[in-house]
Amino acid sequence: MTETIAYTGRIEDERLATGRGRYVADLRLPRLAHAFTVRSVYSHAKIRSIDTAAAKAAPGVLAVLTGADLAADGIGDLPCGVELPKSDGQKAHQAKRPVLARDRVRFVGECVVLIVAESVEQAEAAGELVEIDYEPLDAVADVEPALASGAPAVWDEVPDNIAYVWKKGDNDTFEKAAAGAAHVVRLTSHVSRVTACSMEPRGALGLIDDEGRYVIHASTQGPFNMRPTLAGLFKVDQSKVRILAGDVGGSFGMKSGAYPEDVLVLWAAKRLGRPVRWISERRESFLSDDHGRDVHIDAELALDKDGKILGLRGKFDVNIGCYLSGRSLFMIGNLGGIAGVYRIPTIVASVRGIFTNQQTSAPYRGAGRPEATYAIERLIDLAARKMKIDPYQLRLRNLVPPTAMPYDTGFTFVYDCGEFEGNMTGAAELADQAGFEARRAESAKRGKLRGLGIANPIEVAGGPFAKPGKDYSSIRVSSDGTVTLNTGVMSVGQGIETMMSYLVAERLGVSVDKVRYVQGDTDLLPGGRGNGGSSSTGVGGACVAITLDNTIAKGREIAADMLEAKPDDIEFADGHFRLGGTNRAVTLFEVAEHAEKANDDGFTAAGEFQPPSVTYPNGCHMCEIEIDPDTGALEIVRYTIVEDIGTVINPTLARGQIHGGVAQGVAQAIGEKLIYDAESAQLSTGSFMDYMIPRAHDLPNINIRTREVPTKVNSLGAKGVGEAGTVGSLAATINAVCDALSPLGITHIEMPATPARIWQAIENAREAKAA
Amino acid sequence: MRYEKPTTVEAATALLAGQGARVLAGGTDLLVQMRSRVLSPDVLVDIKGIDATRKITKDASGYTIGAAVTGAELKEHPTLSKDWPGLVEAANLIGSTQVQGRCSLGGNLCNGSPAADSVPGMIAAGAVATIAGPKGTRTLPVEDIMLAPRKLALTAGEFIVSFKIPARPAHGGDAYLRFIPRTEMDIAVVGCGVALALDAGGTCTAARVSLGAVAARPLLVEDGAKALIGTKVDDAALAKLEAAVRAACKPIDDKRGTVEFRIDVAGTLAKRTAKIALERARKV
Repeated sequence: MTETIAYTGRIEDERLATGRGRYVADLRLPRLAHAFTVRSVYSHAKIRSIDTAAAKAAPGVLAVLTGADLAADGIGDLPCGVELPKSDGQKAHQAKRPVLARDRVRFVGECVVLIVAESVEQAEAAGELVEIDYEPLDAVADVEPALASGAPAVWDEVPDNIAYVWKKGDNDTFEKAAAGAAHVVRLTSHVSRVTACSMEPRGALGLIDDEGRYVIHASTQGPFNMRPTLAGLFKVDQSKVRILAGDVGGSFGMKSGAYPEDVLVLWAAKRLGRPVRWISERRESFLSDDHGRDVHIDAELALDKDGKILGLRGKFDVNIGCYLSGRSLFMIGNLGGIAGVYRIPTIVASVRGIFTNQQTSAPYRGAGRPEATYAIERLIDLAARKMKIDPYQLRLRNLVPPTAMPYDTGFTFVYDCGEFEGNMTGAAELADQAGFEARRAESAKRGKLRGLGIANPIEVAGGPFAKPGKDYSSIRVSSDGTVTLNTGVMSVGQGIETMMSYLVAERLGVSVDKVRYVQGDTDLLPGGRGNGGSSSTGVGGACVAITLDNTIAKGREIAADMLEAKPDDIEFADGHFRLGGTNRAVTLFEVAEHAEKANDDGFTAAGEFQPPSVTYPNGCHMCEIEIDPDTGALEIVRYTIVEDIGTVINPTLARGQIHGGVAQGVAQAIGEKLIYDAESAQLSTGSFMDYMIPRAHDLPNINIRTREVPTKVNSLGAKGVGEAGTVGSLAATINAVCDALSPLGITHIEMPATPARIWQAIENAREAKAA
Repeated sequence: MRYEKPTTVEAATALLAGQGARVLAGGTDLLVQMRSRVLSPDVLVDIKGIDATRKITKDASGYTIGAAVTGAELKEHPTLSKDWPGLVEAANLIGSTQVQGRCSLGGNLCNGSPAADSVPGMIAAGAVATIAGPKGTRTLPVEDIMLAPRKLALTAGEFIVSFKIPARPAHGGDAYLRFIPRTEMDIAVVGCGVALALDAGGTCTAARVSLGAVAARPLLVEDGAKALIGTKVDDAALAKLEAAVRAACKPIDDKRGTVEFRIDVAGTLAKRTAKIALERARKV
């Protein structure tokens, strides 16, 4: 796409950076009441009784409500809907998340009592007066103890704690391939549990409007996903529920579903006849935001004597926490990425969801893709090390060539296009791979260990794979000289407002400040994807392109009427509808004025887009690190990416997405981890004092080059970029650490590769050598 | 809760002798603890109205630094960073830029954390606290003030007015290094301060070595100093220092680092800190 308008930076930044954003906490409404939730202090306990008398009598308190009150009002649990079998072959137990726990709590931080008061402080103070009599139960603190024989059960109906099982591929074929292989390498590893730490915490404001409709202003990335859930719980038609997402300050998958607090504010608003708001405290966020990743991998790769891959088998145990929903299945939907960018004749994999007494887990930037890429890319490095082949060369030997496109991996995905060798050679050049050994020697002179890690991520975008979701958008051209765009996808801070506004401005030939961008209102469109799955540009942007086509087609009809000509004879360029071969023309806004006089709708057009298939952004990451062996301190000295995201619509924003994605993946690799106490299942990293969040100093400048191999799946040629940085960076970073430590005989290190863990690995290696 | 801002030491000690009173300096620890309901004092005694807590004075015997002087003010002082760079660097490691505008040496010490960054810096520099109380004023070396986590050697009504830092020796240098899981605004896993003085021939004539975050209280490591005094601070001396420091460590196991890791890194850090202090001493 040619840029006909000079890009002058993100439109939304001035508003967001000067405190003029419209987040849920910024809303001011008359008679607004404030909610606070009393949360479980036990990871697993029975609730014997709840005494709310003192809290009810506290100053400013308007309501103190429990699960019994919810039940009395006929409000059920959040839906499960998982059809997969459990280990006994029966359908998964519908382990639904309650809005308020009734007789049992299953994680620390679960909502038990709702308090609504005139102020947040009064609600919180009343919370301390609530007396809950718990009978503590043995906790299932993690996956390993959950699977041990005789483990306590998170759900009595699921005694082995295995929520669901899923399998694909033929195990016998893999066994045969492995039996005939020259080498089989195995990776047993844990992709750590993390939390999104969105800058804007979760929050929701519920009210009942003049028509009696349920209206919620929510910090969500999926208004249209949330609406049916809430309508179902309140037993009303979807038209009786309106979701409004204003500005959203980060979501990462964590804000993709309805939470108990969303239900609570609407329920309280209905009961009290007043708007009710809840805003998460940061400490609540750590406990109660859906967590991400936490996948135990056991995977094997079989290769022949020349390093040609013969087969791959992967087993993935996902710690789904204590409740089950479609959001618990992220590892399955995106697992196809384990095929990587390689020819692998046979792939067999299984996924199990494991219940523990931890917060429920959910999609988190990449959502199964980084885990899949981590598995294949770590296995290739392990194989390269074992076979004494350069990891770069071993990858080259197994790449799917462009001539093989479209390429069926034999394991779910069919890649439409991609030039994987080009990514690798480009990254090698940009990262100065040729000069690495000299840099390693120079580091060694200073007593440092240097390592280079490679990863070739490929990720599904604009899915789900089986049936990509549809997006909607609409445009109104007004005689006042503005163009209003409603989109079904939405910005959660990444700059969609800017990207979309420029698309509209360029195509309609108006200046970008004439474009009004509107998102996140379920009243304005029939549906929308919201944010997720790297689909804002490839699906949402492509949908806007269709709506723009429809706008111009509609404009030609109206202009034809004005110019007394046939629509086919009208040309559109630079904001003017012109009768071909003449100088007779009307402007876009004159057409709007004409339309407004002629009918009530004015000059409007709508569009929808359901992609025929998914896209596959892909790339090559090279991470270079240096380790101080005396302290285990690690520094990332270079990070290089060549990324094929298809046609790049806005280079600045695309790079920003890759930067953020890399930061998120690198941080998980070197520091981020939620740790639960092994006995009590209490969260011991529940604040920024204890949970590592990356800062500017933790990251180097990131060298990014995009390689545009346009997809034909959508009219823009864009493949999607939101998750690209994260998908490759876990594997590239850990591969780099392992490469740096390899001279000491260390073959693997678990994430997060903290100084203490690296130091310990070095100590162990030295002791082993001495022994 | 009552907020008081006395302007004299006497008025402050009288208020502090009462029940449930707490000293407020920069508030970067206290206010956070109050917000999170860890502490709920009845009386907040803001000592910043007392002139002596807010100024830095210099004379032939050294510096007197008010207990509520901020980290940013320490850094901006025209000569303090030249004379005691390690102390200032330690104080400047507390929190972010915003926190530096409020946090103080007195607060960092009296918060009672074994991992406080400025405390080993002060101990190495030989800082002595001037403590005011109902019975008058007394002095106490900084290493004797914190007894255990959150436990101080101050009695009811007492508060620290200022710290006395000696004049820098002719060939003297100090340094502070800490090791943390990442780069800034984090709690030290190990912190180490070293101050030393050389004679004209480059032999170490005096040294003080201190450690933070490796025991229940910040430590003055006498054996570490002995390892350096009388030497040219060569590799052999540094090896002895490393061993002495490791022997002094009594850390706890927590999620930031195991006992063995902390002990090992403390030794490594002490050597590196001593080298910086040595370089600084040689330059003056």
